[in-house]
Amino acid sequence: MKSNPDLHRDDFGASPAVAIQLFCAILGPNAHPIDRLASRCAASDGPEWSSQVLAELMPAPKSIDGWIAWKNRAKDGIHESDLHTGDPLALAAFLQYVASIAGALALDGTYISKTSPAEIRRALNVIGPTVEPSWRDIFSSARIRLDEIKDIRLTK
Amino acid sequence: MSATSDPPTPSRSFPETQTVWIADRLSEGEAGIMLANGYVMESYLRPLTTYCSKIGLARSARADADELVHSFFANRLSNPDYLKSWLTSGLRLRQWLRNGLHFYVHELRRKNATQIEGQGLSEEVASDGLAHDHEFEHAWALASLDLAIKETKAGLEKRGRRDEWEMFWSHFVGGVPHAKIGERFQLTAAQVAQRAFAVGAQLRDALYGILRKDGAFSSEIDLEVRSMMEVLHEIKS
Repeated sequence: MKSNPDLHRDDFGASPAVAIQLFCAILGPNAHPIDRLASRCAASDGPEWSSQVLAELMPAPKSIDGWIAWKNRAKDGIHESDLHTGDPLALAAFLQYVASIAGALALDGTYISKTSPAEIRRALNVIGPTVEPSWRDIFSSARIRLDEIKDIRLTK
Repeated sequence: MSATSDPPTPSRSFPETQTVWIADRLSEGEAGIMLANGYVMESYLRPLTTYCSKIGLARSARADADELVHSFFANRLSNPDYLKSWLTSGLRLRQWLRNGLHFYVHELRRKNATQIEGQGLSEEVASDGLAHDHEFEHAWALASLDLAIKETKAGLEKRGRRDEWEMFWSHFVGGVPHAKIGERFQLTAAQVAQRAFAVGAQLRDALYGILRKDGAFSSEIDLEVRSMMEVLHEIKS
């Protein structure tokens, strides 16, 4: 496990990342999956974990069909009940799911989800800054593209 | 401190009436008002001080942030009706205090302006505050959580259960599996899970108690916690 000074303190050192982990613990099963994922990425081994999870999506698909295939594969791994208990495999699948949607948006602005754009925008905002730099750029481009789209037709 | 005047021990079920504890203290005369004032100062000093520093409010009042907030408390809380007025305001206590701080700084600036001939008086201090809601909410979220942590840890220590805090922290913040924590404490994974969960519930009760004293209804508390997370996410990104 990587060293994180926040975690070796007896309090949370006013760290927003640790505070989010604690708020997730407080909300328990009522914590939103996006917050749970943000909390997982904020853990001491979070950056390493998210890099490993996202490495499975490399090389990045160069077509929308490729991103849809990634997204569908990720979706199969998401079990809602496991997600609400913070199950690591479900969280990994959820991260891949969000990343696939981001990848398609960043590629050419195609929106490949039935989840509401507001939810996805929030996921891009919250999770984006916590992932490795190359993916951070993809999340950021995706958010910009999402904001530019006037008429989003929800796609499977 | 009498037993009836102690801040309430967090419980699993909360009455639907908001601000009960502070209202009760204010109805008890001078001793109660002192307790309520003490609670307000302890709970809101840090978020208000952080807020003052971040938005330059202290600088505009030619004071340091800590000094400014202390003098604000001394000025306003010496009036026994100050918190009573809040009870009928419909505002959250943190909003009431933040607005009050802006008016206080405005008064200070007005006073300074009359002392220095020719210096203009601007309304910018009051309007600046509205644009910095986010900074204040961020400071408030962190300070409230810190207070809840202190209360939870104090409760555990009082009962000789400090280890349980470590189990909770290791699992929820450190991400260490229950079984691994169990090896350290010679407990099964299930026993660690049960203890860590119980500490989480105590932390939740402590935070909910703080939010209720700020004026939140029980039905709004999960929403309040989510808002606190949201404001932290936004600063982070």
